Amino acid sequence: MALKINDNGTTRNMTPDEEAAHLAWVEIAEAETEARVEAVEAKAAARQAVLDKLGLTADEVVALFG
Amino acid sequence: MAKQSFTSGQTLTAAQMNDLQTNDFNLTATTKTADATLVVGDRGTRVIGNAGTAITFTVPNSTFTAGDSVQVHNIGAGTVTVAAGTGLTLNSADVLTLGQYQSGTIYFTSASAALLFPTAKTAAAASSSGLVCVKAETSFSAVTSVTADNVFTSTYRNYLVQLQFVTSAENDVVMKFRASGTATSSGYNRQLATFEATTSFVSELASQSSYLIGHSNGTFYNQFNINLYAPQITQPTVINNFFTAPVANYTTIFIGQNGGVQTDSTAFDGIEWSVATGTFTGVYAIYGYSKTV
Repeated sequence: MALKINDNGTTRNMTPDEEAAHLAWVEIAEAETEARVEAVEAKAAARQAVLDKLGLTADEVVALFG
Repeated sequence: MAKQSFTSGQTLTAAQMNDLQTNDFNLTATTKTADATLVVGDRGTRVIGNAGTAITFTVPNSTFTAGDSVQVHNIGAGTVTVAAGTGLTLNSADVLTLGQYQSGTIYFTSASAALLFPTAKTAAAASSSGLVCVKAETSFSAVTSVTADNVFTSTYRNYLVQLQFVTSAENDVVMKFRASGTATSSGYNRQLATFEATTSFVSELASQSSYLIGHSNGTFYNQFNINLYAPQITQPTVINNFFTAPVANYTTIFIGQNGGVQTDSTAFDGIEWSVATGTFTGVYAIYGYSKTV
């Protein structure tokens, strides 16, 4: 099924060129999303590693520092 | 009656006196149903437009003298435009077009200069100040992408976008700028701060293929106020976006503020919003911030 676009107020099927451009962007966007998720996970892992070293839970950190 | 010229020794008749008095207390009226040029005999009288379509009263040069005045009225459905004839300067604090049942007084400061004093509100002119709608409210339903072209011009420097949407499933919605119908898919940097209940979250995105404006949980409409700074100027475009996203049956509100830049020095004339998967449904309108008071 063709993708739909609202083109300046008119809804229609995307042209083959528009759909190809959109799908090419989707591939890039998915890679960006994956990188973003990995970065968040890496940050959380680093934070947990520090907490583990200190022997504190996340709740205890909140209680201490807000 | 037209202005009289009396000569020395002339006898002033009762008829002349009555005519003058009549004009003084009950202005002589001339009705025009088509374009007309004022004549010297119109001094001190009322010229009335009465046409179904727009007509023009032309004020000629070197016909009237300083201190003369003419009242112009419009009782027709067509507008009456008061236009300066060649060589005459006509000024007014308001527009020179009279709508139905509107009027004005033309006062001559010299043979070649006149002022129009509208005595009633004149026909509305295009708004030149404040927030001006450049893209009327536009609805879209179950689409992957939404485009708005030819909305950024030199008339305005900065713009406000009001955007409301809900996605078909939990999904991000992104924004890109367009030039001559083609989207730019690089150079978007964004800094985000969001708040939900007592939790906050910040993130930074650099060199992205689009500008992530927000996230919808697929159930509730999200509201976005997006300020765009100088998109049509050949310099990086700055974005400031505030959004509210109700979640959990409106009992919890997710809010966010993000700011960013499209780093190209491109004069953009349009904008688009897209979802990577699924569709989204909503409505938007675009406004220009006036550059003048």
